Amino acid sequence: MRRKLAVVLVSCLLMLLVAACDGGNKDGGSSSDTGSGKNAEAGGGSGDKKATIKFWYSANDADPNDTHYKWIEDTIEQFQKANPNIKVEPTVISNADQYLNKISTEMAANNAPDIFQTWMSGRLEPFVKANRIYPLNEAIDADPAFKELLNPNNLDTSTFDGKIYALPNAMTAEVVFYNKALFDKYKLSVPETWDDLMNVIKTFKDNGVVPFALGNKDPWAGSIPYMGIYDRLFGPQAYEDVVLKQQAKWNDPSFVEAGKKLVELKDAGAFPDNFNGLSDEEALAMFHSEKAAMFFIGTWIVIEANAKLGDKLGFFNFPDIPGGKGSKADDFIVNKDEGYAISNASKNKEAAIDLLKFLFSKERQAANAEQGQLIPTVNIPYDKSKIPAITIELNDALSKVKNSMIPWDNPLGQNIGKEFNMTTQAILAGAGVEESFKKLQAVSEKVWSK
Amino acid sequence: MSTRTALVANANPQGNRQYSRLTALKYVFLGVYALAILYPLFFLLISSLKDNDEIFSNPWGLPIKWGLNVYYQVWTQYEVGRYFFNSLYYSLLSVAITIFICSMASYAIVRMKWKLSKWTLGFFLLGLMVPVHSTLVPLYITASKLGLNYPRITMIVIFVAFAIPFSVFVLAGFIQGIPKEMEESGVIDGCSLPKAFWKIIFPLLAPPLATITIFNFLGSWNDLIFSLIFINDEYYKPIQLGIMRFQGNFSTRYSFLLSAIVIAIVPSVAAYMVLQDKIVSGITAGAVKG
Amino acid sequence: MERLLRNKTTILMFILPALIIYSIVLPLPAVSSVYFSLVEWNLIDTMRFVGLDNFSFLFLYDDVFYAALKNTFIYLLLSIALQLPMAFFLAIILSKAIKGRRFFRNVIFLPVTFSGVAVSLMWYFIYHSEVGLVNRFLEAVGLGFLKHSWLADGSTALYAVIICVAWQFVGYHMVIYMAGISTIPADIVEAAKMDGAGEWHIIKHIMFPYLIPMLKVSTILMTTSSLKSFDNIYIMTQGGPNHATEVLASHMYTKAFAQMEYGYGSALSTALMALCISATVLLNRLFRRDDFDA
Repeated sequence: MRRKLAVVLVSCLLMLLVAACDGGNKDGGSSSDTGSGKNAEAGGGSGDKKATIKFWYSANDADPNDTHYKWIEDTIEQFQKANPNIKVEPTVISNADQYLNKISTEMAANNAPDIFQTWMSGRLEPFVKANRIYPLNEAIDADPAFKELLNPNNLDTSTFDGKIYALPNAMTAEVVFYNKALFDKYKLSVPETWDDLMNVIKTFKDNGVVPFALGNKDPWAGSIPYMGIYDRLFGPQAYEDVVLKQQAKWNDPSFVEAGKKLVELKDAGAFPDNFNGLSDEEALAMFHSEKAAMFFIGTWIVIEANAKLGDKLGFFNFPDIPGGKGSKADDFIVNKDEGYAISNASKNKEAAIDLLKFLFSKERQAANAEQGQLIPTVNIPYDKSKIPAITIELNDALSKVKNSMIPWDNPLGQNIGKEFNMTTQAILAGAGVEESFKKLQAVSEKVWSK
Repeated sequence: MSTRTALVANANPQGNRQYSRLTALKYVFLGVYALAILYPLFFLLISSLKDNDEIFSNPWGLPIKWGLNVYYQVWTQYEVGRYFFNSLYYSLLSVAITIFICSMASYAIVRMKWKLSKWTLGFFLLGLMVPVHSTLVPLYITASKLGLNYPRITMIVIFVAFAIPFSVFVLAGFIQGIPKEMEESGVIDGCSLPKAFWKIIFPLLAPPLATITIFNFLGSWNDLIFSLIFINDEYYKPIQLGIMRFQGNFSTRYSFLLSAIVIAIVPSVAAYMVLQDKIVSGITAGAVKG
Repeated sequence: MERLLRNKTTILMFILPALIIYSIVLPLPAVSSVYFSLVEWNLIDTMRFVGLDNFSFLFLYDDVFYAALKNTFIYLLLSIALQLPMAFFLAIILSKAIKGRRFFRNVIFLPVTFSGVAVSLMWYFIYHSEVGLVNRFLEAVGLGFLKHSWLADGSTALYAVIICVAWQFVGYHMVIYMAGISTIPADIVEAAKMDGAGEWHIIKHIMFPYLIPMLKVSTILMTTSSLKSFDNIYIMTQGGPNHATEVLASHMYTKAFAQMEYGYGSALSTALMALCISATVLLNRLFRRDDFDA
């Protein structure tokens, strides 16, 4: 009896183990599917044959109001209808930081999904260098209808050695959003200079309104005002030398000076209590509920903020600092981001390219634009009446940009980018500015000394 | 709350007044402490059934409209059901394998005659000292070279390996106490040694195996760090990692996160209600794990 | 029989499965982690051997490491200070055959069976500044002015996490002590009572000495688990605000797996391993000497 039991137990174990081995293949449930999927892989997966492609992206899937999520869902659904032979397996990760980690580690393992959302410039570069990303030039040149939709000016953050490795799907600018009603209430006008700004901060502060919403738990949020200040003080050239070319040292007096200016802002009470422990979402909620008057953040908030605040929502570019080299008329923090790229290791590149083209088709891009997204593509006819007025205003402002600065943590890459963000967080938490940049220099030397 | 007053009222009326006052004080203390454990759980449960507005307008009361719907939604649409079965799969399978290989290894160490047996036991016990974290980077590098393609096997092998030191420790101690005559009689009956082991010794191991099962099952069921590092794909996520997805979207709908926590806790509570003493002794057997 | 017990094939068959799985997952990586601490590598570029650079950076420049070290020790000391006396006290109350003993023991032990993730997420909700139980409660009893963003404020966040951990684990240590108390021969206590010893006297002179081994075990356990603490911090604060709750394990995780500095992460984990092992050895030695004194 016991022996029988043991035999049964052991065979159960073995079966489970076999199942575990099979675990690499998710389609185990429907065996016919699995078989054909494998065939397609073997055949290189052309459009006619069946192919399964993995597609990863980051969106807030638990939020029914998240328009980006809805846009991708719709896109996949329509793509599936149009291409019944291609099976798209989407994976969505809601936290952007986690997404970045995961995609990087998959890259390292050379196991990236067939097609995936990626960040640009410094965060894309290591993957390109390691030959993990499939260059798109061929696919673009082969299809003129596809090519004419892509704005060459917006491909700079994903072009390395003349080859295009990803297509950006969103333009974001980082500007100061403000609550017009609150400005009116305290008879304030949009600040033109640093002194104006300090005055606005003081007025709000005195009246119990949080001047700037800021959720710096994930420290990129606090790097935005720093970058704004840096540009107004030292202009776009300094940014190129330091961040893009990595020629200057972090303990350069310019960084320290901008850091001290940031501290000045904090000391004036510009930010909410405990901002270093608040999440980005909590800061947004603060701005939505009119507890905070301004929010220096990316344009991705526009859709939701417009829904919440309506006509009260306005924006301005970070004010000038007298004597500084930058200008609020010409310099914007702009990112061409949220790109899509195809893995070099993909066995179904053709199917992946099909999906990529579909993401950048006229219809899908129009749908993207109509929900209020600033799109980096061109020649897309869409219904302007569906777009909130503020988006049109933003589009106008951005069309006049002379110098665009990419948020630094992008070109600096995942490691130093994060270190830079944490440096601004430390400064905002009261650490010495000189020492903080000295330490950032030490980390950079350790990592950059190649 | 009613339990507390009831118990105080029932407190032993014998003895002098001071004694009973002391007893009453003890019950008050115990009652408050038990309340501090149970009330947050109760609060979690009722809040999970409320929508966002009600969480603000009616924080203390029972839900006005019972929204069990959220559990259904979280279980199916947000895949907590699958996370749950993934966890079950990893935990059950790794415990089964642990039992199988550790009872053999412990027997070989304690009973069989070979030079390095003592040394091997020491080698296994060394594992009790190694913090998980110092294995992560090398394990990750190895796994990523293999392409992270076999998340299930990876998880199970890791859970088994980390269960080995403790299991061998408990089993070896127990086997030492089994009289040698047991398997000798089996061998005299004509069994081979492995057969005698499975037929005679293995059934005797039930008590330590119960401990090992509970301890290791909870260990792998409750794991966070390994799944955080080795599992990227939603499809393979175990429950602990899976429910974290709701934290990022916390304010959009509180009940998502709260109901997911309840789902993660319920099995522990259910198992605990049935197996109280077994679980208490199973977990605290880990007290030897320095 | 002897011959069978010396059969090499059987021995290998019995020992190898466990030995192989164990070796490739525990000792081997632990040792190679020391090697990886001497390189600079993000898994994508080529690996560079940098000698002791990671360690010199760690000791000379890494403020976060020192913050994490300090927080880890606060976490450790406060955990012991909170959990040990509370567990001891509860164990003494529950050691008597009082009514509802099992009920209370089971309730207090209950959270031990929960996962760190579930408990942390639950407390994340309890500490929430608007809908959380703590602030709600303060408001309800008229102490609304004490309302606070417990986890967002760097000066309270670490303590908030420590309390959550104590909530979960007091029951664990309590059960260990209860097991210790149950080994005290009843006649000793009875004899003392006959001699007119008060409750306090019995606790101090009979129970406490009997419990010393248990207290040692639980101190060692709390020490090693505090040094390795990760789940609660990672979920409730992610080491923030501005590293106010950073501990060694969370710093190591961020460096290695968020910033892809695998070499530096290994250096941190090597430091953590050294700390764990030396703490265990030190505590064992300390307690052993006490035994001789006693």
